[in-house]
Amino acid sequence: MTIANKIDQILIKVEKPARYIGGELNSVIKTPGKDEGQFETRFVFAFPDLYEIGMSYLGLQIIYNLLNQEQGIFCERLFAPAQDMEALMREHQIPLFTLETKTAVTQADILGFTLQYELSFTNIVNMLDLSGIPIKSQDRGETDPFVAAGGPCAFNPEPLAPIIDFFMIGDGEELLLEVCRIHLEWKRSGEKRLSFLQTISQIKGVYVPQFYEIKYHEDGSIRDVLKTFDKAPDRIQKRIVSDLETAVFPEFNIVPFIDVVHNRATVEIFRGCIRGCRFCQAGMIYRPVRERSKNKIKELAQSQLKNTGYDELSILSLSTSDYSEIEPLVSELMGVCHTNDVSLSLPSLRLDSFSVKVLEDIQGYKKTGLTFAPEAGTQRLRNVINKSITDENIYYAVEQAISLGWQQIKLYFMVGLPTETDDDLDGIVEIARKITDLFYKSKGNRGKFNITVSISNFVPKAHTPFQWFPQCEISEFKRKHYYLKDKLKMMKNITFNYHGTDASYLEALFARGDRKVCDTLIKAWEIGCKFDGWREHLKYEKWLEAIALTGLSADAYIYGNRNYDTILPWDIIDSGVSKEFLIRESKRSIAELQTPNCNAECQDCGILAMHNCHVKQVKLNEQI
Amino acid sequence: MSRYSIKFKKEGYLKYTSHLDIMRFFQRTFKRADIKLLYSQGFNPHPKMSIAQPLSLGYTSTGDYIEIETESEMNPDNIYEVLNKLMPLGIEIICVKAINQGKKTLAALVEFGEYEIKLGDEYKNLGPLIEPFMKQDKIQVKKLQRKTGIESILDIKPLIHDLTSEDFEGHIKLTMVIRNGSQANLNPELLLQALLDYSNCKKNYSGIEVNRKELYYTQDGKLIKFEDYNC
Ligand code: SF4
Repeated sequence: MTIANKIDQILIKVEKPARYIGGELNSVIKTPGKDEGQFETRFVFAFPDLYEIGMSYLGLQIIYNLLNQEQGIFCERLFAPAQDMEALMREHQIPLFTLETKTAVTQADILGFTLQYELSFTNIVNMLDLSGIPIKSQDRGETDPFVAAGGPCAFNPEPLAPIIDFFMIGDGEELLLEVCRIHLEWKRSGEKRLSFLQTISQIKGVYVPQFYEIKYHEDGSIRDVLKTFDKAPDRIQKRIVSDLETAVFPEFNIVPFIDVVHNRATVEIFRGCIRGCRFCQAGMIYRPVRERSKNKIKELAQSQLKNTGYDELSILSLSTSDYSEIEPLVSELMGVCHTNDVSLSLPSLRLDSFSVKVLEDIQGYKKTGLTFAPEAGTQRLRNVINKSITDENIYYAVEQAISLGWQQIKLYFMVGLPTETDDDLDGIVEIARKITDLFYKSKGNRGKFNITVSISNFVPKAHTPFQWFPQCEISEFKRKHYYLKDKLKMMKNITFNYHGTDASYLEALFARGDRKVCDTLIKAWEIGCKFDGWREHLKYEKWLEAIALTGLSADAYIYGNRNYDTILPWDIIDSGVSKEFLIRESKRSIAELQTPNCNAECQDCGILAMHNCHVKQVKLNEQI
Repeated sequence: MSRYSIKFKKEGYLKYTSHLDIMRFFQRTFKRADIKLLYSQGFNPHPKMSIAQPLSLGYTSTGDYIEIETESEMNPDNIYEVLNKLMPLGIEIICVKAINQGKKTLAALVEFGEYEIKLGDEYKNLGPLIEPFMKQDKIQVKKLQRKTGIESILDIKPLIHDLTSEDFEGHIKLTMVIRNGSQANLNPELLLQALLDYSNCKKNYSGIEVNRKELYYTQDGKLIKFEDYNC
């Protein structure tokens, strides 16, 4: 029986079977062969979570469009099956299969995982197992697919190094195409597996972990990194797509049949961020800022709407308001949306008079709630983390919003930040209190009003100025949560949410881990961990068991102090931002000093050694 | 402003998409086709578009109907052509017809549905049993009330208009015309279960294929295909 026949027997028994059927509008099918429109290299884009999550990720649409436009290459999709489906697949001995052609994943040439969050790592192990592909790179043979990975978590690749044959670091658009083209040549040549890995290790952005051997000190920290293939680069420079204007961007997005997290057309307006918040990995690893022109954005939006029939348009970036022509862009997009009778959604807006006005126009009487992310409760702590929003900014925008009729305000904060004290937690309570006062001052006792305070736990991330800081202890996180909860529950109209500390602990382990962490990961999967990013599936006790069974000093990774000279597991990756800059920023944070954003003044972050920086260029031109 | 009835097929893997999925799919399709639907009045306006009779997940259909109201009058042939160009594999438009304003909605019109069920050759001996089965005074089935969990006995005979079988490439194919719609409704699998109970055949069937072929309404006691509505 073919896989397709076998799945037909089980699909009727699972929840949301359409997760597994493919065939959505704008999905692509190719046949094997050398002719026009056929393929020789089959790349399987794997998202290690459910279909609904993966299909809402724009990167998937970009890669899918890009590769399927290329002669000789076919990109199929793969997601983690939900647990009911997995159970039936195991029972009926159905291997993991691709959505497009229902082909066993073992038939793929390259299986490429996207690493969006650390807590999806056990799903990668599980998906390899369900496919029948050896979990560790060293156990794979000539006929196995190459297992690759990319995405933000690849900036600390080490916890997955024993599993992944090669990582792709940085922007994928050009890199992935180069790798696939080389694969096609290699496949025709009939050379050995090793020769492919050696060849691609010479491309900028490719990291082949098996070409490096790590030597450790007795305390477990890294002493040295030795190369086992002398031509492998000393450090892997990330890839940067220079020009978003000409970069491939999806116009024919795959449109899921089922309801997914984001059902909408989406255009990325710029990549990178000028802000330099010290906890934010994205703000560091996506430098420099590259914008797409207003006209191009409009063109892409129009074309996506036309080809998908979506009734919502959204724009994507790390900080919408920092787009250089944000006001004309928004008003023109509102025009596009009006003509097409679709709604516009503007995430990541910094709330000021302009954006509150715009949101009023967009949301009208359907006001959903305004979001602020002060991240810290006091100006002092915001100086530490380099978040430039001030109390005045918040209260000014809130006052306007209240007078325009908003009744729901969402506030995002982090706890466990470096140097944080209870005064900073009191600051969070104070902000909530002041906003409530503002509401009653303006509206009296009339109207419903609600403030949601959402707390996430600080996780020190690789390639940020906070990479040397330990994470806050679990017990201390809990104390902070209860401290806030106690104070906030005394107040009316406040909803308080906070993240699980267990998840944050594991996130830190993988965000900061080295290769030794991998055995713990595999062990955790063996004893039943998967979908760790889902609160209801996270089995923390099992994780502790796995940590004990593999003798890992997990605490040392999470709470250990690292000094500026320590060799960090991710030092092998060159994000373009220099260590000098990170150290400088780290010291300034301790001194509670803010650093101006790139628009105000270039901070010499080091990226210029790798690529030109448009923001800096504009500044220079202004001076002349 | 105009009303149209659109007959379509839903086959292959698309049988795993739900009623809501198909509604969403069509709504987007009309947008892509630049066919402007009329919107209902009120606080939460929604487009005037409805499916005559929802299809169970797992069934294919060669006779599904969706009804729309458009802002301006259109040529049904144009609608047919534009839509068919936009269909993914598995959905196909069969025909588009204009319907008069005053007439009942398609959903209110449904009285019968015609279903085909394909069974493996282990059910070969069902054929000759159909006549005696249908001649019974009552055809009783047990039905589990989902809400209460209480099992009740139901006579489904009045809900069956016709039941026939034929051999089909080593399979047996049952064709049934049964009550559908808001007034009375019979699930085709309930009828199948009753037939299997009667025949002492293996009861735990799985992997059967159910296809809806057509919907009917009645006029002067005669069954009339939806396709012929208002023509
Ligand atoms: S080079 Fe200067 S302006 Fe450009 S990203 Fe780095 S710090 Fe910012």
